[in-house]
Amino acid sequence: MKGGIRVNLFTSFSISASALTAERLRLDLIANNLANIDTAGKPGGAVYQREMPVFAQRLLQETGTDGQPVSVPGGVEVTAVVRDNTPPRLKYDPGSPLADNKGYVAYPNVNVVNEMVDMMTAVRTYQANVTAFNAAKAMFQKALTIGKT
Amino acid sequence: MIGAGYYAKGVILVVVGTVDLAAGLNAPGKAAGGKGFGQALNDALQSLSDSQKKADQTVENFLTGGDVDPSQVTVAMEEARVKIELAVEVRNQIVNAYKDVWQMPI
Repeated sequence: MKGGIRVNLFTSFSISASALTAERLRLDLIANNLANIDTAGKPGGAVYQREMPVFAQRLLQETGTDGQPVSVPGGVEVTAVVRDNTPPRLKYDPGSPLADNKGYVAYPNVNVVNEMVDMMTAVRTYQANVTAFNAAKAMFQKALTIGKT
Repeated sequence: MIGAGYYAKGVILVVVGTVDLAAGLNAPGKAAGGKGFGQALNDALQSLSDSQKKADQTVENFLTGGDVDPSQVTVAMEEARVKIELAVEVRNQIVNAYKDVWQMPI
């Protein structure tokens, strides 16, 4: 890369912090999906749709070692929350007030097993980012002992 | 946490007292094309003060029941803690250098 990237310790703290916030948002969306798993609706009408976050890498503008602005990695940001467009689950229940003329009720397209796996991944990713934060802090504290015999 | 703010201010006052001395050290650094030592010290102290304020603000929001992500509170506190440790280390070095100079036999 032309010019060097000046590495700032507090950038590494903010990278890990952005990841913690993003994973908490992912967990909130998963919890919302699980809470609304039975929010049925009329087929063709308004049914709860599974929500997913879209993450993107965040780039920070810093000044490189040659004085030119350079983009450095800055962690993650949530750019959007999108809805899953797969068709809803149709369940045959003619006695329900939400049934259409064929007797089907539309249930949300949320799969409990998928949500549980995503939740475990989110928790492990959160823990991994906390470990990365602690590693950066340990590195800094070790640097403070340079020159001490 | 609030007490840490006062400690940081004490450290800043001690170090700022030596900034005039350090300003005299600007000349060689500036000749090399970079920031002088005094300027770098000023910037570091400003950044320490800003991060202290941000940490106190985040903690206050959290304690008054505001909508704050707990991970942001912890991260802000850790960042302020790490900067205080650095400021204390810088102060120790400056004080040691001062002592060494004064202990030189006349």
